[in-house]
Amino acid sequence: MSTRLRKGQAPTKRMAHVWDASKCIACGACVLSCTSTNNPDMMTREEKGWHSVASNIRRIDSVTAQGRPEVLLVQCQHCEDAPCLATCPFGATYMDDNGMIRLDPRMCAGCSYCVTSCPYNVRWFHPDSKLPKKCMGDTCLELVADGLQPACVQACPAGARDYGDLNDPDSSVSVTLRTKRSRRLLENAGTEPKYFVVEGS
Amino acid sequence: MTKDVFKETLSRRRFLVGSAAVAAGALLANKGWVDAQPFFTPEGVDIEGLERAGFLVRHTICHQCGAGCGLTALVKKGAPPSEESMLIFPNQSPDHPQPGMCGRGATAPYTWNSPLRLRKPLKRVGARGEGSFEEVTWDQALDEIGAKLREIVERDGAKAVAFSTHDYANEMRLLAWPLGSPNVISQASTCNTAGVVGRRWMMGSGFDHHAVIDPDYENVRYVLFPGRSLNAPMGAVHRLAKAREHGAKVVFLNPAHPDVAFASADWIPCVPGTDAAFMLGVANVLVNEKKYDEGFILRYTNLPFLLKADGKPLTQADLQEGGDANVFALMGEGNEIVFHTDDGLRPDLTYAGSVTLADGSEAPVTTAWNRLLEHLADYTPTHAAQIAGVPAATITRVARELFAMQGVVEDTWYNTRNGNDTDAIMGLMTVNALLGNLDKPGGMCFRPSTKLPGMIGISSGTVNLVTGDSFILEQTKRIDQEIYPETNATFDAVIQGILDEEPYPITGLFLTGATIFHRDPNVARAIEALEKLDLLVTVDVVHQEICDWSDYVLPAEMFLERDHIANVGWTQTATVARQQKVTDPPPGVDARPDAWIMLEILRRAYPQRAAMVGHYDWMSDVATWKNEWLHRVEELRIEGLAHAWNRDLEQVKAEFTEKGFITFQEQRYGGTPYNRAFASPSGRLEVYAFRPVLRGYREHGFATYFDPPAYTMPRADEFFLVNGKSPIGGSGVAGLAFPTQYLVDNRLWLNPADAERLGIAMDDEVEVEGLDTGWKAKVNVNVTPRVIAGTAFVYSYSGGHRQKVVADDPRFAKLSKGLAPHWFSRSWVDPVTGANSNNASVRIRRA
Repeated sequence: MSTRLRKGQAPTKRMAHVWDASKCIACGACVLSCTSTNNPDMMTREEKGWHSVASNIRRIDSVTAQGRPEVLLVQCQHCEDAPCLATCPFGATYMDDNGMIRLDPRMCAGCSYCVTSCPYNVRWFHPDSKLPKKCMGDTCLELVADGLQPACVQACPAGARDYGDLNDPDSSVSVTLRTKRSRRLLENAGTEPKYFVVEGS
Repeated sequence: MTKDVFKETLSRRRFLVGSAAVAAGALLANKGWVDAQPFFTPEGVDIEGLERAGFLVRHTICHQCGAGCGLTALVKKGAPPSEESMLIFPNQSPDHPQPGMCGRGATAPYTWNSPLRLRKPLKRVGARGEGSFEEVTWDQALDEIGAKLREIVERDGAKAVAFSTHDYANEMRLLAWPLGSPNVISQASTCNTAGVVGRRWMMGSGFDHHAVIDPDYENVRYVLFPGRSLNAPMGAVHRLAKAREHGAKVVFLNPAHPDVAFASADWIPCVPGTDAAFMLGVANVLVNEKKYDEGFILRYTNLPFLLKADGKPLTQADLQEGGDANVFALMGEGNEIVFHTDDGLRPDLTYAGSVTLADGSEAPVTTAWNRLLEHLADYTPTHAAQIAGVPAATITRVARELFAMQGVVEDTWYNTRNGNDTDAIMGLMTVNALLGNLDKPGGMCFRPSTKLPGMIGISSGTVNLVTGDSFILEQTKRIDQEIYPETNATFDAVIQGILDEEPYPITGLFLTGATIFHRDPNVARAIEALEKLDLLVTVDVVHQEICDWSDYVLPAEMFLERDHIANVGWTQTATVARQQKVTDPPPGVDARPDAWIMLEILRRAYPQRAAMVGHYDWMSDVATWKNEWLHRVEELRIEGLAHAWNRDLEQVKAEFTEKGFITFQEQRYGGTPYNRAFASPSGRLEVYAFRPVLRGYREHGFATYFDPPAYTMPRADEFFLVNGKSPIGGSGVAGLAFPTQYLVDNRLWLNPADAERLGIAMDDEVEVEGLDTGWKAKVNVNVTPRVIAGTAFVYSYSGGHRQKVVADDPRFAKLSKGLAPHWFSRSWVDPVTGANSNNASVRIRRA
């Protein structure tokens, strides 16, 4: 199991999500699989904050500067300089040795500072526990701990999602990021996100 | 509270196994799957090991839409049916031609145990449309339906009873044909009829089905999708993604931006109903710039054939006393007449002159090629662009790219939209003919026959079952075929039969998996018809709006509960898949197989006719029927399949169990038309379609653009209303799944330019009024550049569900919002093809 990093410690791995926008067909399988895998109790309940399905992945429809329709899938970016980590008064939000931003529910008071401070607006509140939820969900954490891919990666019918270690030059995500053009979201927010969007030609 | 969450976290186990862990629903949040994990390895799935560990592997075919993607389920042995005891994921075999699970398939477990699932037979107790029912026993429902059916048949005749479905035609034929009714009429006319007829006119029967010819997705270099969103099947999406990796260019021509176009594809927005003009503009560029395959045109199309002044082909019968009218004439290179049946033809593509007919008179003739050049002269890129609302340069560019990259134009699936759609299909096939890119890597290729015997079929009036049972059906011509000579199925003829009693009255209607309110245009007219029926029986999985109008509603088994064997579509391999039962229905759901329901109704009305199809009173018990009737039918089909491919039966069965599918023939190139002729009158790809000319349907055989006849053309500040499917909720069943309402936009899309002009902002409520139907409805607006100016778009199945159970359940509140596009379309039907039309024109105002 991965462990909580202490102050000054660096993660041994830098696990990152890659979403290939040039392959995504916006079918919703990843969004739905996230909910059914991590929060199955929410499959017949609306996420009141977003008035949507209670997924750790949000779909945002937008338009490029050139007027081209664009869909964006947003989730926890597992930032290397995560605002949510800095603002949590209780130490509930932390980075583990895989470089993932985690939440320890035992230490969380539900103050919502992390929700407010996240520039990506990807945390949501569970209506029963009143605690924030985000990627990765508990079941996906178990999956990756077993060396398996998270649910969203496995659900994608178009092969548009990947998850792996940036520190490993041979990992599929490293290869993709070396060979394809990609970007990070809100780059100038200074959060050093580890969620990469591969762009189309 | 925090402590509870901690306990909840600790109690979770590892549910997902191997690469099989996908969108499998709430079932994942349960204990016990960790034990299955070691059996999923990169080398494959150890089925025997899983069974030893207490798990069963069940392969099935997704039926959350009609595409039939390959799924696999892992089931806990001996566990009661529940979400916790099954895990569903895409078929893992890399050889499966159609594996996958989109947002629709991911909702399967929620359909299985949906609050909207039909649980018991229902009998209407209120007015039609009110949605008031009482639960009754199966015996009561079937007895009463049987008695009413008998009353109708004896009063109005068997043909007064009609049947409609999306996927269960054979099951319905088990009731209809022994009864004596030919009227099993699918929903084709609101889906694929225009394309089927277009392909039949150009390539002949056997080449007309929408799943028979498709791009070789994995190897395409350039593919243009006119009017198709490719939201299914997932195997095609997956193969196309591979082609993209190798640099394939993908282009969508569509009034609305398809979801799949997000995946790095070009989108060319066009005015609805103008595809034919666009394609003929492309053809114009190809011929003017000599960017065509002349060898292919000479050998495999009918463009070198001679046409008379009246547009009919010159035949041997025209030239010789006692000649054959089915043998067509060409001008040989030596300036002598040759016939298309001759060997070693070297025809003159550009001949124009006169020939001496059998009666001694002279007749002017010219080749179809010459006529094509004249015809295409009307479709300059500039003119075609004006019609289609695209830049002329785009048409020229697409034509050049298609030729330079040896591309293809996809031939569509759902294409009955504007009333001029058959010509759109003919136009795109004209382009494909000029490119000559057929049955080659990256070209348009053909699916071979799987040789899978059907459960029931008809030949020359004799009905044959795979069991060997056989009987005569006196009247084989369906009511729609009496009105529309070229149709493959036009349900509107049933509506006409109910309302107008022409050509004869329809007084009883059975529907299986047929949503009607989200399927058939002009809902107000459909309601008028439904109110007039003496008997309306609906068989379905979930409570559709049509149920509220039915006298009896019967709960059907869902695909997870069925055993079946079926062809795999949209692939160029000959593949058959096995649908194995994954689970029983959830507790409280007394669902029955569609075929059993039909047979039991028949038996209770006419026991002797049920015996004609091998169904007897001792089969009224479902388990007995499955063990006897169904098991025998499926065994015989597998036996027939094994025999047809000269395969060992036990090996075939074992392979189905192990993999869930068998590919009997891999993809081969170079078949049609090189070694196998088309089934058209000439045996060639008929760019100039002879069939409609010879039958008097048309004056000439070329694709032509004409304004859509299906609706009043919108004027200033009026809009085309078009619809399309989403890969999330785009089907009758998946559209009612709980999570779908949150993932599919059920607002009306308007282009920003239109919204600004009308003073409409994002999410504003507007009133939409059909120009032809007068139907008014309110809906919120999504202001988006994903739709061309002058057109409004809505996802079909995503909203406008008005059944009482939905209205009464606040969890499904969003399903009630939005529009059903069929409220606004008037149901214009092409008098020859029988193709109906789903698009409409509307007026939009701020509410």
